[in-house]
Amino acid sequence: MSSSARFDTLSETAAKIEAILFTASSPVSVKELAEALAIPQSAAANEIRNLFSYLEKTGSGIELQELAGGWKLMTSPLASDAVARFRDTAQRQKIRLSKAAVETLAVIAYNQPVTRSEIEDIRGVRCERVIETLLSHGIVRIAGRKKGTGSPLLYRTTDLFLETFGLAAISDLPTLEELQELGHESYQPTRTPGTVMAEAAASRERDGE
Amino acid sequence: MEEQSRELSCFQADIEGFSGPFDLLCYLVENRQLEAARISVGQVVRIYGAYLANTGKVSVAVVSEFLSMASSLVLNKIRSLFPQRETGEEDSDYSIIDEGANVEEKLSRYRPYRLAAAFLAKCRERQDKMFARESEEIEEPSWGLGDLFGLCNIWWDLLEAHRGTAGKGKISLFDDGMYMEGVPAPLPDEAQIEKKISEIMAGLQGKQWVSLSALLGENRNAAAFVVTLLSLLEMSRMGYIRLYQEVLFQDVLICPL
Repeated sequence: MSSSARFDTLSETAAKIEAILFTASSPVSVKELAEALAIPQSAAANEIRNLFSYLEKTGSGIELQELAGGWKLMTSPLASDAVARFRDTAQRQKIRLSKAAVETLAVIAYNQPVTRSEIEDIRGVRCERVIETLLSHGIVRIAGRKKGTGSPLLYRTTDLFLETFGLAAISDLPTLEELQELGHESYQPTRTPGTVMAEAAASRERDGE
Repeated sequence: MEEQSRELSCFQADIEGFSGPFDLLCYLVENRQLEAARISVGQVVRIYGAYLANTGKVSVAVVSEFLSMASSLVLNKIRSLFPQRETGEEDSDYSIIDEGANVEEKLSRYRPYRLAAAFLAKCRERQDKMFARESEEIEEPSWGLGDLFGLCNIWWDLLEAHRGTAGKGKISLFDDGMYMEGVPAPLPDEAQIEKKISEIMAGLQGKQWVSLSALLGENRNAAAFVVTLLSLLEMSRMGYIRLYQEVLFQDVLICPL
């Protein structure tokens, strides 16, 4: 079977996964999909990979994206102008973040859980207002207090942070060393079917297949 | 009994990960899971102070922790009571701290995070071009102080307009004619019902019973029906009448007692 013929149609299970994701407004995990379809997680991960490739190869306006530990159907960046024009509220829904907010987020993401004074120590400027803004957007959360003098609050990023920046997990972030070596331009943040395959293999091992 | 009350006064709630209920309360407020404006700080401090006094073993550390938490709660409440800052305002918050530190060392430490921020900005740029199904969760409505002020202004304007037009033959929003069919006239409920009870009592005099349909007569709009029904229920409660309905959906008979 040629590779193009392979993606002409979807398997019944992959089609069902597509249907489930079509109805969902938040990312759906492999576990949830496996439970809904009554199949092992490894099989669900395999079918996700098929669906991922199918959408990619057929030039669909929809993409499958792994976000915050689950999978979500998103419109393709190629269709962004048309979708934005069609749904003028779409752009407004996006959280507006200043440069200072993104820099503070970077410090929190790479050092979490982290206190405000630790963030300020790295940034060299006061961050109280920025943290307030990030908290109010739900991109960071308070993750308890640090033991010690004054018991300062600890901050962590949330799942919304992952969704906002298109990340599957915090581990998707390149290390600071990688960024310095390669530069942020050459680092590819999105998941590929290869990653999904590796996960499927790991799931198979877990399921004992 | 004494033992029971002693047990109650020594009741202690242990919450995993928190030093006590007060700590948990502060956490919930700080984490936006509880609205600070709805918490009576005075009451919380009184209850917690009484609890500390009851325990009889308050160390300096406990008191300092208590003061720290109480002040954090007060600060959060103050913040929640004031209008929220506009997004983006934090950009101006560039008050530099620790000016004495080695600037070069600081910059070299911060440089990787600038790269990380640029990387995140790139991720964001791509993600901003992608859209997904909107969440169907309905957000709780919220009203800002601005709205409330605007609403008050409209209310006062209407009131002034009403005062200005009352009795001068002009049409105002408060004229009876402006009310929709079926909506009771803007008389206080009690006054309407008292008036109706007097009417019904007068109609029942010298009779063994009167039907509800006869009582309503030609005046069969919803407002009249509601007022009559409420009056009958009130009269029944006061022991003036007894209500009968032999068959469901048939006429109701009102018998004086």
